[in-house]
Amino acid sequence: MRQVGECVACLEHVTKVYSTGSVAVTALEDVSVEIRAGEFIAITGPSGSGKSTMMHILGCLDRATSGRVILEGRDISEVTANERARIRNARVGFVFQAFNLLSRFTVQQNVELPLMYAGVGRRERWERARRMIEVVGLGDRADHLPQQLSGGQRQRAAIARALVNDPALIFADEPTGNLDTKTGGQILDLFSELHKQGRTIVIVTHDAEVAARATRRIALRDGRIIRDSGW
Amino acid sequence: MGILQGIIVGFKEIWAHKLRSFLTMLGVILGVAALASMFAFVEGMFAGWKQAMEEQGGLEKLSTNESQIPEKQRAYRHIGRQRRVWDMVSVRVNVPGVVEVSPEVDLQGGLVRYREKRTWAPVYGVGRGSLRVNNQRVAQGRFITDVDRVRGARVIVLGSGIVEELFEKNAPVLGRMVYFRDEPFRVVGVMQAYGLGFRGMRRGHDFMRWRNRFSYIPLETGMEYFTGNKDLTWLNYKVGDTRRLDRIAEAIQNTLFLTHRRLLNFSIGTNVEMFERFNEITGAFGISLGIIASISLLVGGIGIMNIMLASINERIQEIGIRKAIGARDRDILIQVLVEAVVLSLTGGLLGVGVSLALTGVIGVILRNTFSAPVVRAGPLVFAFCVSVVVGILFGLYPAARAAKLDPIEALRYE
Ligand SMILES: Nc1ncnc2c1ncn2[C@@H]1O[C@H](COP(=O)(O)OP(=O)(O)OP(=O)(O)O)[C@@H](O)[C@H]1O
Ligand SMILES: [Mg+2]
Repeated sequence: MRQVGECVACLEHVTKVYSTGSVAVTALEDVSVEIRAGEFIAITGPSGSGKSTMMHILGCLDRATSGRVILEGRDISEVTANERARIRNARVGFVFQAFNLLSRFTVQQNVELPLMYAGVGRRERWERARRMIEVVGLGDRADHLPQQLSGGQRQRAAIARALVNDPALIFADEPTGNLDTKTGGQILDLFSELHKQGRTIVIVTHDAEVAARATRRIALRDGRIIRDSGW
Repeated sequence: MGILQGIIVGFKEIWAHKLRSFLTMLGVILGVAALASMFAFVEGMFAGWKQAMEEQGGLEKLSTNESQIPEKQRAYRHIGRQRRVWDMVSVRVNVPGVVEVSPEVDLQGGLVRYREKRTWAPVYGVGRGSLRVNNQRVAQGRFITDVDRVRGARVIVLGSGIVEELFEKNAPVLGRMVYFRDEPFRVVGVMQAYGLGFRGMRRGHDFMRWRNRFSYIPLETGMEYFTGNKDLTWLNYKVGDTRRLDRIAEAIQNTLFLTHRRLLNFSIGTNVEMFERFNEITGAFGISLGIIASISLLVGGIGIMNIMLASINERIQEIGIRKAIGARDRDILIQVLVEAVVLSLTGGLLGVGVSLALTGVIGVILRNTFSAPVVRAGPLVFAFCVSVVVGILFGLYPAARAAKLDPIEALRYE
């Protein structure tokens, strides 16, 4: 685990422009931000303000149109597709609003998947996945298919999958958006718990209550940071 | 992700959509079955024909036949000579490539009688060379010898079919007296049956039944008792080296040109044309069957491509998820490719099975002819490999498309 306060990821003057046909949409405009180890960041903002875009660029899922993206001290703006896949696999974990579990695989298999792409052997894969499933409190549901689980349980499985490769950063895009308040609260408790264990977490949310739990709040509007509570 | 896992996932995917997978594979199944069966049929035809050719002396056999005198020589027709034994002697002496000669006279056949039983047999007057020139064998006793010819001996070598009809099973045959056209002959040998144990094959039974009736007496005996002159019906040769066939045929032609007083009342025949014609026929057969097989394999491949594209469309989100958690382009490519190959591979295996069943059934129907299919492992393996190649070729495009998907767009896809 890295030193608290050390920079894990940062954006330097990042701009993202989507050009669909003739119209160009600027999703992010000259955004600079620094994410330090041990932070629990909430990104807020109205719909379409660029929250997801920012998260995807930080997490190596998408490329910036201009500007530099630095992850763990390394400029990743120009690395190859294979290297980006490796970073997504090993250094970051994603949790989505729609859970995004593979429906034909059990919880156990879903959680093993990142380890499989990392080339981890069968036995170790099984053990590490099982341990993570226990951590998120799904020990008794490991061999169920996603359809057989409640929304909250599915999100727990997705969190286990995000954690299983021991990433430097966890990104969650409205992880409670599809859940009722109570279940959503439990998921947030889980994130708080993970944060207490020293993990760096970035949550995108609309919810003021969620934002209240974070150690730092970043507000976006029209692709720009309008407020940053700092760390 | 390992290839093995990909294969397991591929099989699961096929099993999950059994009917769809089967319909997809049908094209490959038919293509492979057509390809493998085509090999078996063409090979069967070829083997059958080749054996028939062998049993008629093969490529090494040359023959001199009677021929129309050309117009210009008509006026001298009366000085012409028929083919006689001296022709044989001069060819033997003057043409080094000839390893064996067989002067033969057709006695037109007749009744052969043993005790109360009688049957019709085609009988020929021959010398000892006949055995080698015509690729025949003696099963019991001996064949006609030079001594038989010199003495004009009344001995006969019976065809196995005649023995079957005239003698009891396992009854002694050698040394018995039989009558051919009411002349007594002593049996000195029995010919080996064609198509039964000869070169270990059992084909062309009906044709062989006819050939198995051929019986032989010494050449001079036949001339003296039955034809009444010294003309030969055939004068056949065996050459040692088939690559020199043309040169040897020419040398024989030149020799006979002299012995026949420069009258071209003969012609030299070879089996080359027969061989060539047959090669053409099998070639044409192979090509047309090959085209049919290729078309069905093509259709099969397109079916696989179609289904893979559809299944990728169904799984765009899945591909996005896999990429988000670290799948490289290559991993996705392999996954889709393996699925396509598993489809075509299974289709290929089933196709080989269908082909085996098909050639089996047709083999039973054609078992007494020359054309019974011959199943060999090589072509089966080849057809199977072709199916795998089809899977790879037609899986490549869908796989590349899947691998190129942008993770964000794929995740967002509904
Ligand atoms: N693939 C794309 N093509 C074109 N425009 C896009 C694309 N993805 C996002 N955008 C645009 O970029 C802007 C930012 O989108 P983004 O998804 O980051 O918003 P968001 O803040 O996450 O919104 P929400 O809260 O609704 O999820 C939006 O105006 C959106 O229309
Ligand atoms: Mg969003």
